[in-house]
Amino acid sequence: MNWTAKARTAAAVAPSAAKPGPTGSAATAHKNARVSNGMKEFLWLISDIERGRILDLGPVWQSTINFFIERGYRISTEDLLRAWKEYLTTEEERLRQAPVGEGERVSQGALAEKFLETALRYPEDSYHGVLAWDLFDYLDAELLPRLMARIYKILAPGGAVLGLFHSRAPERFHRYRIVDNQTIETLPAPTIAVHARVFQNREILDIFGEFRSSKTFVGRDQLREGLFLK
Amino acid sequence: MWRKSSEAKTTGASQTPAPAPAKTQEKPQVNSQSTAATPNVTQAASPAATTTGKPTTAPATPAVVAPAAPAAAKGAASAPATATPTREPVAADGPSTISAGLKIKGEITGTSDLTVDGETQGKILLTNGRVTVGPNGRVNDIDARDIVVFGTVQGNLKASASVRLGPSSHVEGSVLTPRISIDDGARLRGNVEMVRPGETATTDKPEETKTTAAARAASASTSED
Repeated sequence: MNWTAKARTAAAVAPSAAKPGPTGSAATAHKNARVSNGMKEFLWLISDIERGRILDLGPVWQSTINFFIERGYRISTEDLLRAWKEYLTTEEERLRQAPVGEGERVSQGALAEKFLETALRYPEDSYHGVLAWDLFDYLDAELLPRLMARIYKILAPGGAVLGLFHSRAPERFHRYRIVDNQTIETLPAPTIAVHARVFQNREILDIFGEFRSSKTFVGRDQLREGLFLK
Repeated sequence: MWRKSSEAKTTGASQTPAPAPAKTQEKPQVNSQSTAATPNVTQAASPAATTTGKPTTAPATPAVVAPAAPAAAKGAASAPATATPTREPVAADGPSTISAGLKIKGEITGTSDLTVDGETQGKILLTNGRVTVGPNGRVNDIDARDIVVFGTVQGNLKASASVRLGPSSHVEGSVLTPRISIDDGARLRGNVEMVRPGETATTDKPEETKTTAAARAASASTSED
């Protein structure tokens, strides 16, 4: 799939434009709703796929599940950031409990490898869309490239990844859920991870180096939305 | 036989203004009868009965007396000597419970509802029942009509009517149901697939992609040639 190859037919655009009534009012009803051109584009890219598979790497939300289910997609969720932090906590606890001299400290790289032995275990080419939200901003430098390789592997050719990148360190930790075709809601949440870094645009392109093409949108809140195609 | 909760309430209320000595005399008598006839008297206690029993029994006796309160009321109204409490089938209609601290290995099947607040290892198959996993519950696969989860599930959930994931739920596995309700705070690692009532799942594995399907078709045609 390609932005140039996939013509913007009226039918393809229709889902976002056809239902201004209820979805529009839903967007305004949510306090923290923000217009997301990245989401709009993401949905347009996967709109041709019948019973496509979506992977949400954030927590599970009723609204996000409903949104995709109603459109005939199948959706999986895996709160990767929470899983990673819990894994680190468990490992630290294991080390603390180990008798002196027996607990061998492992490197961050080894931890990342071990974590991915149990996380994000899906068949190759099995998803048509991945919602990563702002996950990449919070990951360790050792885990990030390994995770990118895994995401690339499980994504079907032509599949898309939607990622959000902060332009400056956020004041609060947020979670995200879909409100409608072009609106997402940012929900303040208890902090489970510290913001690790602010990516420069060049760095973003580098970590998605394997992907075929990319597109970036900048919102009014300076949150950058990146869409990457396999 | 126990009275209906509405009757118990009524009689309990009417008994309250009665002289205190009469109540204290009758209570032990009925309690001894009821405990002898119904060994599972604590299970037979319905919330209504418990509530009704409190005003009369609280001052003198512990909570065990509560289920006997309706019978006591009955006895007070007629003849205490002829009061013959029968074996109480109230629990038969209510959900079976695996309470916290219990651990069961193996498949669980049946037709009634089930509440699990303990741990089960094995499939729970109640195709016409409702399975509730309590906050302390830890279970594996569930196949039921309705599933409500507040605890931990490591396995697949398959419901013919609905699934609800409560705020404290933690599910690792697939969810297959016509209707799903997810509370904020629920945790799910796995896929959600909606089916119409009566429809069966297509597959648990992610669907093969067009490229792999095309490659397979190409290899098949090559082998046919």
